[in-house]
Amino acid sequence: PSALRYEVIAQCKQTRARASVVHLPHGPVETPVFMPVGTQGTIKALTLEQVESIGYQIILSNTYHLALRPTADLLDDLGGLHKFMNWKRNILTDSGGFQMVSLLELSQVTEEGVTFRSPIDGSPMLLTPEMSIQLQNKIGSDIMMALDDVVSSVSVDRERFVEATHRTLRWIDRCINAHQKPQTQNLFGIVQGGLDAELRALCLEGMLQRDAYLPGYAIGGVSGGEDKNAFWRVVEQCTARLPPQKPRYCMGVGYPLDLVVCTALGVDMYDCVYPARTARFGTALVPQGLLRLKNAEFAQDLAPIDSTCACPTCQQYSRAYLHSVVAQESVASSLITCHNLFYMKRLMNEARQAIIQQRFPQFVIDFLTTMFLREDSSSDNEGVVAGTVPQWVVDALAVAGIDV
Amino acid sequence: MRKMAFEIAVKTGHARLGQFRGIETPNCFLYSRKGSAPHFSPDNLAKIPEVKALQVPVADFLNFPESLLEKAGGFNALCNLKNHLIYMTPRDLTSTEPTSGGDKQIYVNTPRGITQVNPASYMNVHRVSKPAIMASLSDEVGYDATPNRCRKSVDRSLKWLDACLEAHRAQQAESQVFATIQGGGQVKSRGICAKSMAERPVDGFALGGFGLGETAQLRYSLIDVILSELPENKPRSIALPGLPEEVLDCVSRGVDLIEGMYPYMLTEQGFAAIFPLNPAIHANEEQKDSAADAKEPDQKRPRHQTDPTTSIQDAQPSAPPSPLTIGSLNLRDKQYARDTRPFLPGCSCFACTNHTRAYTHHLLNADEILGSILLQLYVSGSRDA
Ligand SMILES: [Zn+2]
Ligand SMILES: [Zn+2]
Repeated sequence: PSALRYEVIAQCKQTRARASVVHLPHGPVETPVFMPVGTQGTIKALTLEQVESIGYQIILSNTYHLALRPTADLLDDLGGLHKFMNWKRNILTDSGGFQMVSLLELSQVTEEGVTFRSPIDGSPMLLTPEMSIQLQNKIGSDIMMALDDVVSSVSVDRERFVEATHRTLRWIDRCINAHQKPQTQNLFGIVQGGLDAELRALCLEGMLQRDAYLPGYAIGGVSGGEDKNAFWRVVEQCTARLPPQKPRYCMGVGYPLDLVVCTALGVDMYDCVYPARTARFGTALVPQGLLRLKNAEFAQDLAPIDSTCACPTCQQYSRAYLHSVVAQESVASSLITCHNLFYMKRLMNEARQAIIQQRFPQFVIDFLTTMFLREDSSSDNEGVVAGTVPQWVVDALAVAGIDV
Repeated sequence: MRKMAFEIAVKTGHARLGQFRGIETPNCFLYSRKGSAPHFSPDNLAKIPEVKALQVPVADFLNFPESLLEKAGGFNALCNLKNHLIYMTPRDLTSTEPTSGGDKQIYVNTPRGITQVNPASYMNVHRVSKPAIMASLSDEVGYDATPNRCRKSVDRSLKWLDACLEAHRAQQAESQVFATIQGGGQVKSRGICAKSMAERPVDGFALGGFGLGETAQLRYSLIDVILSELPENKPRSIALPGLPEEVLDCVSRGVDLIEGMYPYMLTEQGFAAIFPLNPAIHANEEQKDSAADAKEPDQKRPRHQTDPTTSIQDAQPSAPPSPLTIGSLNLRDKQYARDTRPFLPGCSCFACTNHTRAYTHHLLNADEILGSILLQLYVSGSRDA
């Protein structure tokens, strides 16, 4: 049973990129798709009306935070998270495990689950695969993520990765068994295995044996600051093996460049706090890279953030105004967050249209040209030297079928 | 030639219903910060069409480089406030102290530190910012200043008003000028100040030096003296915290415009006023609610149960209300965690039609900005079903 229908609209003839529609209980989701993160039942600094008007069809929320506040039981009693937020479109929830391992110092993974100290009263607590699914059933998300054994992707302990890979497979069975609502909620399996091709292959094969119970798959453990070279190889290995008739979700990936490369490799779904978080620190995403609005050079600049952007912020405000209020007034967060989420949505829309019109390779070349082969200095790109496309991008795209 | 700005339609007792530059009075200037209502992007501000004018302290204009304001063509253009009137004043409403100053200038806090503002620099800000209305620079003192100090504040405020008016003529500015009346807690000084300012070619009056800890009795006796010296055909504005009852008391005496902080104060503390502007419509609703849900001790009956036009007439001077409690819900309180009603049942504002008390309670407790946005939308917005 499944509450998801995956419809391929177009397959790029040259790369693995595809444009599709994921039909979910709260409406269609057009892919490739970036999902904004609404940790506590809200996209920071925006009303949900604004999120909807940008065109987002699915947002992500965090089970761990919701379980602490307002609690899954309360959400269940009040009719689920959609109703609580008054968000009529789709919601994806994570398992809660990753948040614990990354946020809580004293968390520890055992066969039973993730043990941790309650951040509220310090008492020992345990999150098992069964409990994670139960929480997500109560929250009522359209896509639920399986609890997996996450190891930092920069860890060097191979034994730990071996253990985590096998445990993730044992836990997926427990998640499948605990899932009470397969007719209305979709459980995605997460492929783990670190940066080791053998372990990834093992995890992939294990997940595929459970294919009948899994409406979609995620690629996990690839957004922890690992070498970009290793990152794309893992993504490539997974997309090559995952079934073409199901959605593929690359967890925690959200830099525009990564999205374009992974889309060429056949990924459909992404999520990341980056576009919204960087906005709150005053950085806007533009086709050329980044615009740090705090920089003094913008103090008298009456141009919009991006003259090619149709977002409400760019239609109404100048760089100079934003420079004057950035980091002082919460409205600055709202305005720049709105632009960045608009930018991400537009990037995915343009990629999708390019795939449908069989010109995706040219779209990728144009994207890279604008970002790296430019002359103006009003934006930067996290220390990358203008004029050169990073080698890992060239290598990944070569495997995907694009000569840069 | 500037057109006549103020027209009185109805007068009941001392209270007036009028029109001032398209604003129906009595009305409020919404508190703003650095060119936006706190937390509001333009689409959110557009959700409260009742808000037509923003109060902007001079410190906020100084936040922007003078050359930028000039290049952008004024404050409205720079801050994307094309549909709102800007009212420039010396005073920052968040401060409960009088504006400090000396013989030639006042001092204001800006992000770049304390800045001196004298009539010349004040009028230069006016020149590049192009507000629709400006209050003259004044030497503000509190109710407890000595008689000597109060007299001095009147002398300076008069001198500075004349300087502002002269600069205004030189700029050939389109804006309306409100004379800012000072004089602290001294009835005599207040009367002299009001009388002298009424003789000047000004478009209206700003009652300065209130909301600084004075008793209600002193406040209203001073206001009565001031208003008795002012011509009927010009609007009067006052800066106050702006509790609903203060607003009614001022309006009943003949004040037309309130520069209020109340919506913002409520919002920042997580309160939602359930003070219907048209209580008749809501009375039944609320009774049903309190019958259905007895565990709501905060939800006091609104005090003014009558139609707003008659309540203006009937309003009597009252003891100072306990701040932030009258007719308001403390939405941080856990009793609202499972309350799926809107802020005010029957209300048609954006917050009420889209979200519940339970959701806003969650957002406030999670320190999410959306909680403040919803509250501010509600508190500043329409209350009528
Ligand atoms: Zn934009
Ligand atoms: Zn309302």
